[in-house]
Amino acid sequence: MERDVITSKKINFAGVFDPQGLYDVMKSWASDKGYAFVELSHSESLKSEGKFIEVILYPVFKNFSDYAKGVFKIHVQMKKVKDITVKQDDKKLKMKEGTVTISIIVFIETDYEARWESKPIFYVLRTIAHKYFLSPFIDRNETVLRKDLALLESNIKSFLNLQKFRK
Amino acid sequence: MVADKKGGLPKFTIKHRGFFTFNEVMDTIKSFFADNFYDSVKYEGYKYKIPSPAGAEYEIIIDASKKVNEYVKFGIRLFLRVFDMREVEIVQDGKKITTNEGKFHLEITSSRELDWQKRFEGYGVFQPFISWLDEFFRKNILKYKVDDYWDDKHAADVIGLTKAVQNALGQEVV
Repeated sequence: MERDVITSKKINFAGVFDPQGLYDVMKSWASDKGYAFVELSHSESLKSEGKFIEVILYPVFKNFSDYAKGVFKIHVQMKKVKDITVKQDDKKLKMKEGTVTISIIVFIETDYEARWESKPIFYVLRTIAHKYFLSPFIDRNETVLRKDLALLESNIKSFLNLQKFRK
Repeated sequence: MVADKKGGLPKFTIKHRGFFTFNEVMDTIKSFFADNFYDSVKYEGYKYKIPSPAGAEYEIIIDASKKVNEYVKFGIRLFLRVFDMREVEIVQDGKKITTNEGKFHLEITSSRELDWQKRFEGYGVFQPFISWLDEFFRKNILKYKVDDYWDDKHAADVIGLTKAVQNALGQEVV
């Protein structure tokens, strides 16, 4: 199996937001785009300055073929999360305030079933095939991953910015 | 993923520090295994430390397995540690409730086993042929059934348990 990092992104935000809503944005993006979703680690701790929430979503993956697979690693950290009450249309809403940092790394895994690694000659053949025959397909997959990342980023940013107007 | 004889998901970790009701979490775990037809639930380890001023300490290992059919078996192993757990009284929505405060750490390891009855291990002169037949069966005929159906079902079980525990802990993001 070989893994190539395609791109990475970091989103920072401070202000009013809804943690569950933010998580749902990522979940719905994954299901819309056909990604399987694994929550590797989830920690929450109550501190004097507010709640600390850390979620690692890895691997968030989609199989393009039997040979290539797109993988996202999403690391979400929410710090100093405090309860606040905001007014919207004369209604009182319970919201959260704090800082959010989301780091996303996107990579492509090739030969993820390790089919071409059983013998040295297979490995050589795979390298040749990858370089000369499969590269246009891999490039196409990379474009798909970049587009998916752009959509995820815009979904998260628009969700977080919408929350800003609630204050 | 290739349809190997033994497979599983990566290890899931849930960490929580703050308020939670320990008995509710344990009841959730027990009822999850009962609701999902896990036929064997064993407490491999159960340690309880006499409470110090910081609080009580628990270390529990639970091994559960489910024979899905004659060929496939799912397993889930939980390693639970609770530190500095104290009983506290808090006011929630205007009501006084008794709950626990402490540090909670849960690791969920999962396994999926094929040919758990070892019927394809063979014996005597037939052993190489039966083993070859098993490999052929797994890698060519059952491959997609295992990858796309059994592994997904197993993942749904593990993720379901994770979410149930998170709900019982009262975590913010579920």
